[in-house]
Amino acid sequence: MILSVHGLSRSFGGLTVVDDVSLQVGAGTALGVVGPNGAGKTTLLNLLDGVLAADAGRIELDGRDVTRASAAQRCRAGVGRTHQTPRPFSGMTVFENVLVGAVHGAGLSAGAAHRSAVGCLERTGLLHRANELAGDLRLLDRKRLELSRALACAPRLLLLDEIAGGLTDAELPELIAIVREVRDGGTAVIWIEHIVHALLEVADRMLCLAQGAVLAEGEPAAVLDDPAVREVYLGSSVEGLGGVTAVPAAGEGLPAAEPGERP
Amino acid sequence: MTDVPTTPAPTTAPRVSRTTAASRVAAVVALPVVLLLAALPYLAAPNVTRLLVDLFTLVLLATMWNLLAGYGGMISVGQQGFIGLGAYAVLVADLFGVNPYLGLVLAMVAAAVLALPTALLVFRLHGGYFAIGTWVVAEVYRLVTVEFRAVGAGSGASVTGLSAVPPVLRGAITYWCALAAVVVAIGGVYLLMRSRLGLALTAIRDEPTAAATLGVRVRSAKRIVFVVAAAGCGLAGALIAVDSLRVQPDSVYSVQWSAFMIFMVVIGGLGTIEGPVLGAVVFFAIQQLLAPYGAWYLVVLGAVAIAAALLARRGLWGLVTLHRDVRLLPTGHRLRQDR
Repeated sequence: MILSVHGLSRSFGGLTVVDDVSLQVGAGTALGVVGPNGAGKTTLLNLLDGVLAADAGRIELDGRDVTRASAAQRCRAGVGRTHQTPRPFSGMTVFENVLVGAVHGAGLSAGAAHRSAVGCLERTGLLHRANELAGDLRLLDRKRLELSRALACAPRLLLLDEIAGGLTDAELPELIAIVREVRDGGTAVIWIEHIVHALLEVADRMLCLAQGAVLAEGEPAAVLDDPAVREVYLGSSVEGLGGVTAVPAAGEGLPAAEPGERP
Repeated sequence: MTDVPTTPAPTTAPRVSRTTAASRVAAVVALPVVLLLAALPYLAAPNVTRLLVDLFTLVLLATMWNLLAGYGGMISVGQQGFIGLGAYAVLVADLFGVNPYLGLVLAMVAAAVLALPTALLVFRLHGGYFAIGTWVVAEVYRLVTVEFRAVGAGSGASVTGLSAVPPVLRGAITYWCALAAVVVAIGGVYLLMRSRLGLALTAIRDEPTAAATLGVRVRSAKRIVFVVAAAGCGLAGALIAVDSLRVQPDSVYSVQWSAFMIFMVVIGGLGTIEGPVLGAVVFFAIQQLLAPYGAWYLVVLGAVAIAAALLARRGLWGLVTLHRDVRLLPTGHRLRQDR
């Protein structure tokens, strides 16, 4: 297992945002995470990449305990992460943004880092904007930049936080292809997403989070069919409804339902 | 995930360029200019080099404050603590019979060493609290210093070790020291900002959390910058001491130094290497031209600061370069496609 999490918890004041979460992700597999707004999905990622410290629980990366490691240490150990709200280095060019990950995250020397950064930008289709200031990018390109930077860290574990939000139907397949490629290269992927049909294209397993706790976990189709999961989705806000329309009605063709069909 | 037509595969991989047309010209011009400045004591009257020592000290201070705030994102109003410390290092060296010019090096070391525990303390604070915290620490340095009778307590003392040196020679040596300090400071910051650390610092300035997520050791990078800036300010304080031959606590530990540094960097252009140099020259010119008019000098400083804030938000250097890619000392990376 690349990532093993046992009994992870975190509270803010009296509010428990992540409550006793355990999960495992192996090399070359993807875990999709769904759940209504406020379920603690982003906080979970913040705990995994070290931006937040856990109150309780244990995080193991490649069998090593990283529960107390800083965000920088975890990145160097192989955790790449994209933010739901992009956080570009506005005063640096797109290329330099990615270079930070290649130099400091992946620990490459100048020449290799330059090549790697160019490669990552090529992969996400952002190379033609390489010399523009990241602060001048539109939202969509900022999302591409988030992904490029995370890839530049050469992650063993890639954490994606609503990377598909705001993408058009035409743009989705390309993102899905990139994530698949990363996963098939042996990287473990955790992907939080409201656009469930995109998630179904990639996820090998699915986890539903509600009020900070694991509501259901298992085969993607089974999790989405779970009455409890459908209940929290129907009871959620408008943004969550995007997921509802995407959840296929019971028994209707589920893209990832056929076993062994993994591309 | 793209909305642009896929471009045909490039024939060669893009090349990373780290120079600009302006920087290649600057590199050629820099050496003769430095050599000319170095020869100045033989060419110009002592009062000219004396003035330039003041200017070089200001350039050094502005460069250091820019390193802190413009690149490290640390708005300090306590750098006078290290200026004072540097000045007193010369005085202490003098007391022990050490050559005051050697005291310049000791001042840098003393400031750098004291910066480490100071960093431990002030790094616990952020934003405005950090700014005030550094000021408080600088005040503590002053209050501790004036407790010592040997260095003249509250009234300060004179540097006596240079009285045997003829004034003209003394002026020339001080000038060369100041020139060397400026060349090393600007060159050092340039090389620092082109290094891995420079890349990390620029990232930290823009988005500290994202920098950490991308593997940047934020705290250690900031600590290095804080120590380097302290050493630079210590050196500036030592230069002030060997130049004026007198050290007064209320003057060297004055918070006015911080105001001057902020003024120079903000007027010139925060986060550029060229800007603070330009800002220092402008500040020095205002200081010299308006010196006879007393308080008017402060009024004009204020007016210039307001004008810059309204009209030149990226400083005078930003106004000069505007949208052109004129960087004499480029620290960034540009991709070029060879055809």
